[in-house]
Amino acid sequence: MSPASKPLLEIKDLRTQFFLDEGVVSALDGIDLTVFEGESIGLVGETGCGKSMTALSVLGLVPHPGKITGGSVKFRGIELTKLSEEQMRGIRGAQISMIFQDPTSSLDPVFTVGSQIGEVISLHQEVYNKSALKKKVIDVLNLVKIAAPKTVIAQYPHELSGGMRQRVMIALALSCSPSLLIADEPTTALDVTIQAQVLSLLKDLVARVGSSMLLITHNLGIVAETCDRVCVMYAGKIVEESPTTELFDSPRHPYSVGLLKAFPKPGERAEELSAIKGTVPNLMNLPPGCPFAERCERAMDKCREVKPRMVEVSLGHRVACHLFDKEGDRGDG
Amino acid sequence: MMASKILNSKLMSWKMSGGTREQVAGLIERSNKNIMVKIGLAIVFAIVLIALLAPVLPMKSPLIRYTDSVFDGPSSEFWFGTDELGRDVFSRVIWGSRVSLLVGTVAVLFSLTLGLTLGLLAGYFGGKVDYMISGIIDIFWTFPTFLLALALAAALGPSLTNVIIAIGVSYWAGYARLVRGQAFTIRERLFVEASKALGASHTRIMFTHVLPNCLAPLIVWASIGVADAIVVESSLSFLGIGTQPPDPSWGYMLNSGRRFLDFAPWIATFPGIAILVTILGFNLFGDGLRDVLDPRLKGLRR
Repeated sequence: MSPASKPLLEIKDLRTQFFLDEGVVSALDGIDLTVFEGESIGLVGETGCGKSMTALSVLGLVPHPGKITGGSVKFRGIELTKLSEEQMRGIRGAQISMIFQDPTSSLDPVFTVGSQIGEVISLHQEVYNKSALKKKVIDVLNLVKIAAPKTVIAQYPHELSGGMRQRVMIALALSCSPSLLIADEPTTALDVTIQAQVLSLLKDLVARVGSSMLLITHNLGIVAETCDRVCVMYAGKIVEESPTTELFDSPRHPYSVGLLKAFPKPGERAEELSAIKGTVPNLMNLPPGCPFAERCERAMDKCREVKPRMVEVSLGHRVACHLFDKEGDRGDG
Repeated sequence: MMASKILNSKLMSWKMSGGTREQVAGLIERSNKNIMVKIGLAIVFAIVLIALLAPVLPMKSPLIRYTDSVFDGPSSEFWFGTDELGRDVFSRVIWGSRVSLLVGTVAVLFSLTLGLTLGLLAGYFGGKVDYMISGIIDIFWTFPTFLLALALAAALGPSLTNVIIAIGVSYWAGYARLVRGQAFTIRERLFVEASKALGASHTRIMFTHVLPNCLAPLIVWASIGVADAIVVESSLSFLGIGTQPPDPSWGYMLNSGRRFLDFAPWIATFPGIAILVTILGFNLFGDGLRDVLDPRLKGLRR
């Protein structure tokens, strides 16, 4: 990331809530996140902290009974939360695309690979000629380095291997050269060798097409390899935001520290991996203070009462923790 | 504009997947591997052919009465014998196939279209839409279908068109339930969400992703439905509220031949066999179609 690049996606104080019979669940509790043009940004956190919900909220695909209840999502200056469904459809796939975790179930089993990619292309671009479309489909498959694309277009998803399917998914997502690619755990369902291939492919393609990427994962190794910046999420909030190397060198938020401790480092023979004690708080009634307070070893009285605010500890490294909030002794609620 | 765009890209994806020719080739190839499917296909094909060719086949008219040969048994002149009015049973059975096929296909298409549309809407959108449509489905579902068809046909008055309407209206709920259930599970699948994330509209997802995925059981159900509709038509005609004499219909022939079963069994037997064979053919055909239309079974030896 260069400081001069322009923001592509700006999320401000985004709140997404689910209205259940039992109460209101705050899946996203005021997210601030900016993705700059051409950068790859990682979103990490444990299961259920709202990573995927962030992606779906951006795309306007929050499932029922969820709703975006506040905040703004600006894409190239356009407020996405105020667009009509029809206008959003023009953006999805063409400008913001998404890759899902499980390539097996994200492809329609009854259509060939070629017809599925062709469908997305003809949905967003005016291609009315069969051979032109076929050529585009083959181009896209070549882009994701699929061997023998001419054979693959006539195949059904179940005839392909997992890695091939994820390549097809990537091809689908990149077929219209979107400016933002959201990858929701793109390699979780793949085995390790294929993971590495798919990741380097993704990295390479994003650079080539010039897109930005929002990579959602719980695997810190993937983040270290792929992303320029990282956001750590906890219970529907972003608790730390930092350039990748800096986060790995000097994590500030106790939760990030815990996450990194729980992650094995090659070469170091740790006696034991430490786990973070306790579980994520109930999103239905979040504590008034810091959501991590109950599990935090360094928690103070203030942490249980006052929500911490984001403070900048060094250039581009921000953290939401009272430990680093020097001036805000009184807190700001 | 939007509609033509959708249609166009749908057409393209259809073409790219090989189109009809490949599907038909697949059907033939598959049917060669399974003797039952082959029989079913042969029967359906033969009956359709017979029904189409009935007017040009070299045989007697089904309406002419040969007054000197009433109740004649099967012979070289009257292959299936003659009935109580001296009409040729063979040609009446052949002509009767037209009525059966017409009622079978049109009634099924009717209830299929109705059931599919409502079931798809209910299953895909769920919520209030589903609540309302399911209510209507349940109302129709609680009626015994045959009794409903009987009541409708009786109320509308005896004619072929009314029989088709009666069958169509009575049997759509089954299709609707089937499609609704399928659509419910399919709309939760990740590829539906993926295509939403890639910019597809509801209509598009419903027709290009949800519908094709619930097609396989639907086609089996529909081909068995054709057999069912033929039985219902025969039964209604048997009861006198279907096809009206002197037009030949298998059910009507069965009914009128019943009285002479002890001394002229051929009058009722041959239309009965015709019904049996036709239904068998459609059922076997339906099973075969399911295999062909399911790409996951493609290339599997059976």
